[in-house]
Amino acid sequence: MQIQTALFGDLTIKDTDIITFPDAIPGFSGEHEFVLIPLDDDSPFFYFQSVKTKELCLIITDPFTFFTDYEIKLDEESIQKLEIIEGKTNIALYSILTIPEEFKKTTANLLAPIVINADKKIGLQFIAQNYDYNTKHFIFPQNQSEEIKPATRKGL
Amino acid sequence: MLVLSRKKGESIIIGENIEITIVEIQGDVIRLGIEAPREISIYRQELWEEIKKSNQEATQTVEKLGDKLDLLKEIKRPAKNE
Repeated sequence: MQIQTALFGDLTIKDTDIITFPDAIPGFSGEHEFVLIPLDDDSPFFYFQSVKTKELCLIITDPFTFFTDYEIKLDEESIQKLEIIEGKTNIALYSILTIPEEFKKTTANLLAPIVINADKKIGLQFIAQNYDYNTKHFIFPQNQSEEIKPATRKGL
Repeated sequence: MLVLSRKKGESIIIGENIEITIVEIQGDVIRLGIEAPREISIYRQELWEEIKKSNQEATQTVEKLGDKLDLLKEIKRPAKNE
């Protein structure tokens, strides 16, 4: 089928590429179908494009590329919703990026990752309620560049 | 908004299968017990709002991505044979 996207025009996708989100994703009510499109070969980034709404596209990333010790534990409820069979189902986990004007200040939402049952193509935005993660973790080191030194903003 | 008075130990029922019980009242903190079917997600309101805001902001930054897309494309996964 063909879908419309704001970033790359009309796009032909297979029905099997569609990931279904039975629950509402906060802020995107009525949006239950998305596709994942890699940004480039070997890229840790993906477009997360709504099937229905051309303007609705997020960029998400494999968090483990940037946060090697990141971990969350899914609750029973999410495991059931995603129809995960422990030890069998392939699970994919992504963090949503916020990419501000100043690229170096790009952040990842580690509090609420997108979790997908890669076999059955079911997804949800999991809210990690009992962790110290927040919605804005810098993905790049913030103190290594002399010229882009933040004067007032504190690191999160 | 419907406003109901309840005492400690009392409940309200929403629909057929959601029950919210006042478990404890201490000063201005009230502890609620919630029984609901598994498919009903329950979040603290401020947490839901925070994620909603973050999601919407993230979408807006993608709309204004411009040449930052090329910067993103330059970043590769850690190579396996390096």
